[in-house]
Amino acid sequence: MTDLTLQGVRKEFDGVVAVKNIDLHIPDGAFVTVVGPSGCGKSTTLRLIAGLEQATDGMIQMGTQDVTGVEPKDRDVAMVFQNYALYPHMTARRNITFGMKAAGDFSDEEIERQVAEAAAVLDIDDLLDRKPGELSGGERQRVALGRALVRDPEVFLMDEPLSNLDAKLRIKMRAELAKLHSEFGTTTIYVTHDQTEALTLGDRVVVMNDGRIQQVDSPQRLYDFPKTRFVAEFIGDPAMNMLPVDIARNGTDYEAVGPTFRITLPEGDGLEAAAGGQAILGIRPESLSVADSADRSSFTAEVTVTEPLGDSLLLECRTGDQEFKLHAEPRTAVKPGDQVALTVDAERLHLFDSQTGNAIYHAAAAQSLEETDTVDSTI
Amino acid sequence: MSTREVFTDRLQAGVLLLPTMVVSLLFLYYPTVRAVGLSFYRASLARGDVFVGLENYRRLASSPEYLRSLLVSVLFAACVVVGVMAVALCVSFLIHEIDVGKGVYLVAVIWPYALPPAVAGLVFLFIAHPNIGIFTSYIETLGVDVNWFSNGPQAFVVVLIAAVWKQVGYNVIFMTAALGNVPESLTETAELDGVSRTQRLLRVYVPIISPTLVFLVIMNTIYGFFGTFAMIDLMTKGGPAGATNILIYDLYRTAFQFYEFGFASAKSVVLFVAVGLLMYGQFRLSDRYAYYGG
Amino acid sequence: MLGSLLTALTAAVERSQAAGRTTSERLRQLETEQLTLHVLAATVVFLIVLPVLIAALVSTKRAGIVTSIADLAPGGHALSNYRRALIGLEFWRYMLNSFVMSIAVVVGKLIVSLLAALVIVYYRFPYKNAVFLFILFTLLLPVPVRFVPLYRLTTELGMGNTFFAITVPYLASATTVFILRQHFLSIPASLVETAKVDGVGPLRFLWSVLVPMSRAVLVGVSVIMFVYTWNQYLWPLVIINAESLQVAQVGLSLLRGQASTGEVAWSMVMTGSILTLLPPLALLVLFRRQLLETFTIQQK
Repeated sequence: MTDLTLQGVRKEFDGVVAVKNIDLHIPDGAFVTVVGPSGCGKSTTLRLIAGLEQATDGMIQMGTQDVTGVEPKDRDVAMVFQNYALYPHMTARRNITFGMKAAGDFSDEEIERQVAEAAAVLDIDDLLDRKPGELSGGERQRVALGRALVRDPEVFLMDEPLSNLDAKLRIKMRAELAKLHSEFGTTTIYVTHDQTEALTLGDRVVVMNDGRIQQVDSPQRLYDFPKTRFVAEFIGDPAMNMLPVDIARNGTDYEAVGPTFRITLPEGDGLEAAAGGQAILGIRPESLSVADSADRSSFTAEVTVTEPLGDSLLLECRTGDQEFKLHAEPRTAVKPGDQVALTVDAERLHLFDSQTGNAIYHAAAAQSLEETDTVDSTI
Repeated sequence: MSTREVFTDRLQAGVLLLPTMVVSLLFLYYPTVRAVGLSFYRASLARGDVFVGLENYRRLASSPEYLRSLLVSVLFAACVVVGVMAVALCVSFLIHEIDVGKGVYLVAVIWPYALPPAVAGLVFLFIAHPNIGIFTSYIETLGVDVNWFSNGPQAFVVVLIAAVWKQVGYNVIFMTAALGNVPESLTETAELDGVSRTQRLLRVYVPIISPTLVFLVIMNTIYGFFGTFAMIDLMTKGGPAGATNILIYDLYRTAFQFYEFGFASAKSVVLFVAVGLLMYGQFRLSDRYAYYGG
Repeated sequence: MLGSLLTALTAAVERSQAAGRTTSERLRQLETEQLTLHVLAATVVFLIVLPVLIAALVSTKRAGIVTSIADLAPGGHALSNYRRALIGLEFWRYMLNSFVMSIAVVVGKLIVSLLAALVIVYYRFPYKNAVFLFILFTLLLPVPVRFVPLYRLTTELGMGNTFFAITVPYLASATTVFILRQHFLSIPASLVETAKVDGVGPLRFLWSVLVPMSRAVLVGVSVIMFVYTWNQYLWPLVIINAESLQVAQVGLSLLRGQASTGEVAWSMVMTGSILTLLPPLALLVLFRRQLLETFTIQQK
């Protein structure tokens, strides 16, 4: 086990920059998930850590050792792939031992013991003499995990390991992965495009976009205090509503003023600087609700689409020329075309800079933005 | 994003490539370059090499025999390509349309791929022999005087049939594979539209498998130029009177009967350029006409 | 003859289409159609097999003069003919030489091409595309366009009339490298990445992963290479003088010469032909599945 540091890491492929200047520190024993849309550079980052790609610039450190130019096998990492990467002509057992034997620093008894141990943990004892073709997707992924486990590496690298499984199995394996990590405590870096996986598995989540790290934070803070408009929209489903507004000062209060609404913003950092200008108001769908009667911070909108989800009713609404979504109580009696009065959970409002997309204000009583994650990452 | 190129040791790469590179350089590229060089010499085993400049090429250009050989070659290759592909297309289509027993028919039809050209030549020499051939008497009752040892056009046709016979199997291999890849839905659509079988083959299948057909045209052209050497050597020795004297046979005689290596090298160069141009032309044509899906 | 197939086929179909439209009639019509197709296919097979069938029959006869179909009854001299060809006329020696040449070329080419394909797919180095093109371009340099200077080169190297001359020049193969490359590209990249992370070296990866995963293709290309080498005629003809080193194809040409001067019977020539045909034919029949699979890769 060891901690891992990336400093100014950059990767170009034939002039295309896939990873732009990444700084990241992963503490010993952490489970870090890296999430982002496809092409954001998350897989490349993982492969840079594995040593499958060589960084164009920057430094990668494991513990105190600079591993930037070190061969993958000497980095003591193990990798698990989306398509399992099992050798189809070998039995599960041989798949597990093949790499160990190639590494050559294990005795036969040691290998035997490690395999038995890993098989017991992963519950694949009975499958060891089968070939991958005779195993289900979930079983294959267990074997692939077993192969990584027996190596007893400093760091586990996982590249979308659950993406090829069906939804049910994915949730089950997710729980097992979390259990495995709490048992072994090995530093794990887990790349996924699935935000649910990222939030549920990671004790730290790295959000990437366009080759850059957008934010590194705990799952809840990521959700509550997105640093950029990108993070706000990427995390959460349906995505956070984004409404262009003017920030106006009304006596001692500040208000977000849209063409058809006027919402009072609770006192907080950043408002004074924003006053008199334009910004993007971010409201999560669950922070809006249908009001019984009009009150001070509500506004009206027209319902365009209703989607009953069972535990809630998703409404698509329009006010003026702006569209947004909200989670209403299930069984609320509205239909498309209805006018509804809406209330806003004032503690859950966000403002983003119209130009840069950076967050300028979170309504929830928060520490100032700079304090969120100065230890682990600088953007 | 992922890559197979994980090994980066250049020295290792060089060592592993070495056998292929050395053999290619020494036995493929070097002789070709040397043929060009040698074509400017009068070279024979007995006397030394004498530089003669373009003399060999001048001789070629003004040799009616050589021009005839060129003509015979092109005609022969064209007949081989057309003959082989027409027959192979019919046979492949036939097998494609059969419901049960496809595999058996396929093997029974493609085996001549393994047939040595020398064997093909000898067997045809024997069964079509003007004096002792098994079919000779039957054909002569039709009023044809079988005497292809002295009749040029007849010799051309006999060698051509042998050449086609040997090559059909190879073509059927690729054509049945290509026909097998035509989506079933297209066949069904055509059938629902009441398109006849022949129309289905010509209007639906042929355009779809055209990349395969282009590939085969190229392979058959090369076969027509080079692959039939053994047959000609065993059946006609280029005769009678040059009727089957294709370029490769002419080249062989220049080098190994008359030992004019310089002149032969000039012929090699012409052959190389001719085949290169031909293949280039066919590639260009295929770019324009073949349907590559997408 | 075969050209009229299509006409016959269409006629058959049209005739059956003219038949009624009810289900049972339709079924019967389909059956008749398939029957017609089978008859046609059987005819095609017969025509393609016929020349070799005649050769096989003649190889069982004493003199082998068959001038009419009535002469085609099998003779009782099969055993003595084949014994005479193999032992008396020393055809065993040509066959053996052909075997040694073909097996050496197949094994050599396989090793050399596997290494080249390994580098081309799994190594990163500058000018890789140029190297690949360099190998592919040799497709334009078949034996016939270079056998004259190759002859001079080989004799200058003192290798004329040797086993070296009929094997080593064949060892570089664009086709084999290309087929192996295509096949390797169809194997998921994550396998080599896993191997790399685990510290599995390139040769071990080749031997323990690529080769076992490529069995069918390796068998397929081996058959292709064997057939190609076994059927070589021109190059052994010019470079080998000693009869003791000669291959079966050229041995046939010697037989043909003896037949036309009356030294041996034509049945002996057909015996030699059948002998020469058998090894590649046997391989094709045995490994047809792998062969067909490999051909589909080649064409891509």
